[in-house]
Amino acid sequence: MSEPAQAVLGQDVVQRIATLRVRARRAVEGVRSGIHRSPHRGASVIFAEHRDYRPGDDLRLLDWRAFARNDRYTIKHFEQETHLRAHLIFDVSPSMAYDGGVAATHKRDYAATLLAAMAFILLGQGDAVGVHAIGSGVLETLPARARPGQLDAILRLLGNPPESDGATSLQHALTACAERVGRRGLVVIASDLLDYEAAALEPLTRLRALGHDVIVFHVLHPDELDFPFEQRSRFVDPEGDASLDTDAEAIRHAYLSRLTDFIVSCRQRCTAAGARYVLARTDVPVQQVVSAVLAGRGG
Amino acid sequence: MGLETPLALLGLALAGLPFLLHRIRRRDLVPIALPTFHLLLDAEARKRRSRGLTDILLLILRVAILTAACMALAAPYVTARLSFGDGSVASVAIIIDDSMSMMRREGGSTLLEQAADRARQAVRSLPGGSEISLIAGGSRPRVLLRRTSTLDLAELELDRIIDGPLRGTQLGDAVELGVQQLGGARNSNRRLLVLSDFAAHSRLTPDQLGYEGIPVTLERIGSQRTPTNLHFTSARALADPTAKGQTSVAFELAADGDVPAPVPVVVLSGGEELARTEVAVAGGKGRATVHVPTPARDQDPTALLRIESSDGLVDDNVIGVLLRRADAVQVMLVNGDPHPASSEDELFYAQSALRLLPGSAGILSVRAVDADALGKYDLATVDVVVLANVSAPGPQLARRLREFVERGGGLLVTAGKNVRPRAYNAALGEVLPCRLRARSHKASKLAPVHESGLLGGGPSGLTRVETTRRLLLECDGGAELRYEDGSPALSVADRGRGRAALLATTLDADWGDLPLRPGYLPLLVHVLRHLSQTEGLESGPVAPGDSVRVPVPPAAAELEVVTPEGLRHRYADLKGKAVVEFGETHSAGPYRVLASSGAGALTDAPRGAFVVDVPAGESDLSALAELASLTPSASQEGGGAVVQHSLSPFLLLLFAFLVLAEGGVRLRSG
Repeated sequence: MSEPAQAVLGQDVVQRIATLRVRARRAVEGVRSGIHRSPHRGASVIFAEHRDYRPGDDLRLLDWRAFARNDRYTIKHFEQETHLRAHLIFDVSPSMAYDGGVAATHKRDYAATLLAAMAFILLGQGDAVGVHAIGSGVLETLPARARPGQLDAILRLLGNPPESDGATSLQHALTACAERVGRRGLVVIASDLLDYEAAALEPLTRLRALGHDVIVFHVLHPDELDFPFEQRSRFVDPEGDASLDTDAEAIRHAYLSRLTDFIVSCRQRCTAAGARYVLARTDVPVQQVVSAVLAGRGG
Repeated sequence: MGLETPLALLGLALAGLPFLLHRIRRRDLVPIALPTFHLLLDAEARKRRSRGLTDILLLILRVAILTAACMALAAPYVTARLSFGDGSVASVAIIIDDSMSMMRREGGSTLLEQAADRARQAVRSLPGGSEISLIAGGSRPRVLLRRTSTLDLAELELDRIIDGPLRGTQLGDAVELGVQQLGGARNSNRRLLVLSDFAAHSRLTPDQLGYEGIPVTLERIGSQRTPTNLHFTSARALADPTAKGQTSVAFELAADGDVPAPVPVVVLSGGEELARTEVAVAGGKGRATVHVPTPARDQDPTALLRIESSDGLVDDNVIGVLLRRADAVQVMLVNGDPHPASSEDELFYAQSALRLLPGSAGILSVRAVDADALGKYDLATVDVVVLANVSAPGPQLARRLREFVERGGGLLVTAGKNVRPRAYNAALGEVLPCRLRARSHKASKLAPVHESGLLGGGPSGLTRVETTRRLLLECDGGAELRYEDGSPALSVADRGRGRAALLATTLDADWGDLPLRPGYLPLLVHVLRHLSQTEGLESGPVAPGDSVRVPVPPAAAELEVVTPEGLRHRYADLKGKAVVEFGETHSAGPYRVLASSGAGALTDAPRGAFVVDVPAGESDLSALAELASLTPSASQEGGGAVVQHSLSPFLLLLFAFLVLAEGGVRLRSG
């Protein structure tokens, strides 16, 4: 990060962004090996290879010059130009600001690292990547670009997201995103999906209808998943003023049952909308989640 | 109530500890901003109701535990006035008057039940190591429970005292019995408690209570107010000479004062109402006569008179009567020497003596006939035939007389100028106990009667009987009376199913002064009842609880006694029995006796029915005037000592229970 940037953003923010970059790169390094720059082949200026013509091949791709030289029908392959537009949707609602006393498992940081890793990969492929920070709505948008310096901008936004003071409204935020992302692209969502409205994930259907591939990282903290609290505790709503004094041990079973229902519901709604659902537990290394997604696993 | 260590109550402040801890815990809770708060809230809502109740229950239990602990440490106690005694170990005899007057109801229970309750209180107030003895004060006094240190036995015995016959009162004897029970008691502290209504008929006197070292406490059961009480004093039934087939039932009532309204009285037999009348009672007395149909021989001969008015004592509102006098022994006196001058008549003395018998007893029904007319009478209705100076009967009459004896009848032949030995021996020798040898004109005296199965022991009133003439008898068996020379004067023998007797002298004063001696009437009665085989049977009303000898009719296979309440007591094995002992005479009223022979139906047995009267005097419910002087210190409220009972054991038990309950609730709530 440059000196002027440090002056504008402040030492703390710059440090976080740098940390995010390191984490993202580390996550991607393990993943990138074995990945082609572009798995797609098509019209491009960069020659890729020749191969014999097979019936059904596009006649436009015949290398007439090669036919003239050796009287063989040869198909000329070029490396496809990447025009994928990826949109990273980053949930910065207050419910994401939880680390359970362990900084390494901070939900928003984890989500930021996850999205940064994806940005690394996508930008490395020459795709255009943009970011939408959402909370009660779309709080900040970084349009998708493939230009140099886009990664810095993405990392800056991921490392220093805008504050969200309202409750999460996934439906509102995702609908707004869908209006901005255009057609055919990749939409990666990192959120805890803690919007209990029945229609919260309906915009996923719309994104799919627009031709987007949608990956949903459901980011949850181990405390949320395991409920390790004991004895009597006071729980407060991070997105409101409500509190609850209860015996954690006594209520654990009922809570875990309710959480399981919630996760299953989220998975079913994502799957139904045609999106890939990946449960991201914040104590699991990011590269493990990313590699699982790129390998077609996960979720 | 009080506390031995009241300072321990300061610990009650700890009862607020659970509340305080609850508040402190609430205040000290570190908030956790859980993102999935709404899921938690949802889960909480599901469990809220049951957990809320559990929390409240736990809070209450914990407060109760601390409270119980503090209260136990404070050692609370209650003071109680002992219902009897001073709280020290003692040997106690409790006398409970179970006479009929104690059957009076007051406040929904009888005085006897109240006395039993009071006795239970007294027993429970005795500390361990005490001894208790229970005595019933109704006649006859009896020990219900011998002196024992197992106090629980007393309570068991008190449950049984409620059921029993109507009894008179013998408190004086009961006190003596109680003192006997306390003799040899292991505790020097000996006490005697008498529980009674102390009605006037108890006749308790100070000298019956003066026992050294044994204080006697008299406690009156029931109020001192004397309730109005109506009762029968007598009831007689006689065949109405003016109306054939009718019987007059005359009765008298008594009360302890005027009764404003006429008293309804009903006559019942076998549950059916025979007659009803109303009696005006003035000056404490009233009388009336009602007429009822005389029952036939196969009908119920008993009747019950009942006062249909509520008064102090219900049990004496009934009296029984026997409507058919035929149940008495039917005696036919055959006059062998009638005379116009009654004093010269052969039967003058006998009839005069038998007339002296109490009419109410109705045990002998005497009929006199001339010897010439004897042949015309049906002997089947006669129990005993007395041939008084009658000439020897002709063959036909002799045969009838022999059959009469063989069938179970009684025959008495008395001497006289018309009695010729040879003729008698020929006519009736088979059934007579002795052979008649001759007449003797030698003056003689009866020998003293030492022991006779017929006359019993004791004074006979016959020791100075002198005769101028007599029949000389030759008896194979023994003799009931003998002359000084040893010759038989009276001999009795069983013949067939009957009995026959021979008297060596006359019934009148022709041959001696027997009729002039005091033993004449008893001798006649004894001989006649022996011959009729009704000796030993009750001759009059029976007291409740007494045992009655019920005669078994000849050839009876079964016998049944029916109580006034209709309860039937059956006797089946009657072989060889002349009488059966019946002891279930608990109720006042008439008792019917039925007998059957073989497969025959049960019919009323002759001379079987009897009457049980209420105990005399028990109907007088007025208070014993001398009671105050007898018991200067006793009071019905009781004068027992004040003792303390610690409540700590109960509180410790409660504490333990609450701790267990709290643990259980916690375990259950997880």
